[in-house]
Amino acid sequence: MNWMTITWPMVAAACLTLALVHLRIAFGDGRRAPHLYFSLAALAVAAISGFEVTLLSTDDLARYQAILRWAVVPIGIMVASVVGFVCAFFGTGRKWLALTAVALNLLAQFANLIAAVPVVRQAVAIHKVQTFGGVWFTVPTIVNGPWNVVDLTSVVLVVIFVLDASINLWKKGEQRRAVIVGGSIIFFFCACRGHALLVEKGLVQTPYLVSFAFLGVIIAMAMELSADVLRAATLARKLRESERHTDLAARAAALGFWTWDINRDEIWASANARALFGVSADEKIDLPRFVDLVHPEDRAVVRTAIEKALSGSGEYQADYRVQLPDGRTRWIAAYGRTEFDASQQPELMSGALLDITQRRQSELELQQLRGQLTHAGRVSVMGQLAAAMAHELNQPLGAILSNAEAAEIFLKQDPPALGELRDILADIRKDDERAGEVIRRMRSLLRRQEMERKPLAFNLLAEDVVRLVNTDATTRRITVVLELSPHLPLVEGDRIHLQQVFLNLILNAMEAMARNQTERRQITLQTRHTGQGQLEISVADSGPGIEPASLPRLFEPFFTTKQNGMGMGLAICRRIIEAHAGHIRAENQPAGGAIFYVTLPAKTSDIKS
Amino acid sequence: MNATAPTVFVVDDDTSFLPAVTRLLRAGGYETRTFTSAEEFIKTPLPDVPGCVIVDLHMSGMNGLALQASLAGSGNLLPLIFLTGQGDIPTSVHAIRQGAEDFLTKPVKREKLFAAVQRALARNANERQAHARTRELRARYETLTPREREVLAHIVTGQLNKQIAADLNTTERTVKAHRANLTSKLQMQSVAELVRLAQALGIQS
Repeated sequence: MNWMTITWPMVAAACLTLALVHLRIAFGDGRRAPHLYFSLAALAVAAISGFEVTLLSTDDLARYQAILRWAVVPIGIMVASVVGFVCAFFGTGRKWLALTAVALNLLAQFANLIAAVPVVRQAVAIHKVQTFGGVWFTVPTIVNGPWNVVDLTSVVLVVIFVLDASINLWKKGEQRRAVIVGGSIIFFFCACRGHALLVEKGLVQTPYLVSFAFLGVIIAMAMELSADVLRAATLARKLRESERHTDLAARAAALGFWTWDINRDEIWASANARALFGVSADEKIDLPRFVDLVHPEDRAVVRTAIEKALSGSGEYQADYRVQLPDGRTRWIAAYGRTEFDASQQPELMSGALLDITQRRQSELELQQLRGQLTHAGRVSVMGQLAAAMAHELNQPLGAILSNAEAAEIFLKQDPPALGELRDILADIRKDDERAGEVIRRMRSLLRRQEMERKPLAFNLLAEDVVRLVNTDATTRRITVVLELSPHLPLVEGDRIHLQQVFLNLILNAMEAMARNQTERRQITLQTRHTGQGQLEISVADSGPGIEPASLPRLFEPFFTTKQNGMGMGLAICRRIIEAHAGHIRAENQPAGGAIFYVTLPAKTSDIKS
Repeated sequence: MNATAPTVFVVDDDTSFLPAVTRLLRAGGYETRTFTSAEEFIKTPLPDVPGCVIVDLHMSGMNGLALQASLAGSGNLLPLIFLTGQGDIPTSVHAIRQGAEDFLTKPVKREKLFAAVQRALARNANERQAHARTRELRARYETLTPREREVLAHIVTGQLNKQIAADLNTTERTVKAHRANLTSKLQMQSVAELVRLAQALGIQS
């Protein structure tokens, strides 16, 4: 036992260990080729190490020659594996160069193995040499055979191949790997070959150190490989984490995922996506089947969206319904993206699905609610009327309060201003009557009594309505202009009903002008006597006017030009006016805006002076 | 303070409320004048007396807001108190933003009404005083010669006599003389007073 008999087996053991580790990895998952080549190389180096240590202690020339002859087998394997490793690990080597180098090397080794006399190298004599530690070892005298050139050429080719592959790898940005693996292979190959030459020429008296040199190569390879393994492990962990997050998000949002292989027309869909469509896990889905699942009314939408995604930007977005096997429909929002191949042909489309049934439903409900609100708004004309009445009530109430408070002051004067007090009391009585009248009107309004025909002053009717809408008009910055013809005859009719008609016309006019610029918001009310015993009132606005096509149908029930209108307002107006033996019509003014005319028969017996 | 008693101008088209509120104001010791429409108020030439205006928001024809805009346009200093049967928040905010003194709703309590009138009158008095002061300063300023005005414009920027002399291409002695003249004409001694005057009259160097 000496240091020599310990060192070489240690090299062998190290190599064996590395070989086994990477063999295990190679038969796990992932990129296996580099690990396989590495294991093979490490095993070969272990074998070389074994051969070397045997050679060192051999005293018999014949035995020495035999061992040397067989040692070429692991060397050949080693060279081939290293070249294979560089090919697989770098991915930048020239294949033909690699094949040529390996073929030449194997050819030389094979020739050496089978020839009667070794054709690459032959030990013609051996002698013992003592080195430090007092250890004796065997040194051969080598004669190169005719095939030595082939062997040498192959080694040179290997070095050129590795150099070329490393330079290319460097250019691709992986400088570290190129230097560590490529550099060490080249360095140790040259060193090993040079050292062997020196030994064989008898210039240095040391044992062969082939296995040590190759150990260097093995270590460099192992370092980079394990960096790769580590990176893969980190990546795998991150991937698992992100997968878990995606899965969590997908489940939380009830997302479904899908991928469409366009060329083969196969659609892969996640379990969630299949559930959204009501498709079983094993059913094959292609485009026609998918379109079949979409609600017939939405198929055109989906087709257009797909065509757009395939030709244009590649973005896919569509909202559509699917018909579930149990007859229900479900709203789906689909998003996706097309991937194009090198020739710009669509290759793959993938994306996500979202169940938006609930959102759609609440949108629908909201829309209905809005409709109901508008309806309520229309109904609340009555309510508005009542509010306006309350406003009217505040006038006499305010007057009464002011009068009463003035009276208190006058009473305290010495002597009390009795004349003032008398006036005040008379005024309070008058205001009280006025307030009572307002309340009576309000009550009659709320009772919804039958039509009550009474002689009415046409102008007063108009003035009263304008007073009702004044607050609203001020808020909306609308000017209401009253142009009343004096000395009009009375009309006979129901005050509340007629007021409601005028109110309706004015409120319509206000709505029509809602989008007008502030400088032109005007409603003009005109009253006139048209002769032939007819009185006419016109309500003109400065809004956008009425679409000519809508004019003939304007007074039909349920006909509306408003987004959320009921189409009842003008129909009711016409009914009321016709019940008064009158007539209502609408026109567009030449200068813009709509104008409504209401004509009522004058009360023949009474002409107001 | 003007010797004339302040007058409350009441503009309302309601034939029962107008006399009632006027009566109350009179009982409270205010001079009043009534108008049944905004148009009438604008048409009538008003005496130059301290006062304020109580105006109804909703009137047939020109409404309270239009009256407010019209008064603001003509440079009238009278503060406005809105008094309305039915006011909404947007309208009241609009009125107050445009400088209205208050926005009251009918029926209004005496204390509230009188307090608003009192505030409006006080404000009017202040504004009239400020106005009168400015007018007086303007009159004094008008008595300055063009050269003195130039010197004044330089003084209020904080320049020394020497600098002013250099700027106006004259001697320091002349500047001193101008300075003495203008301070005696304006009845002011300190530079601070002169600066205030310049600000009030909008004089720039």
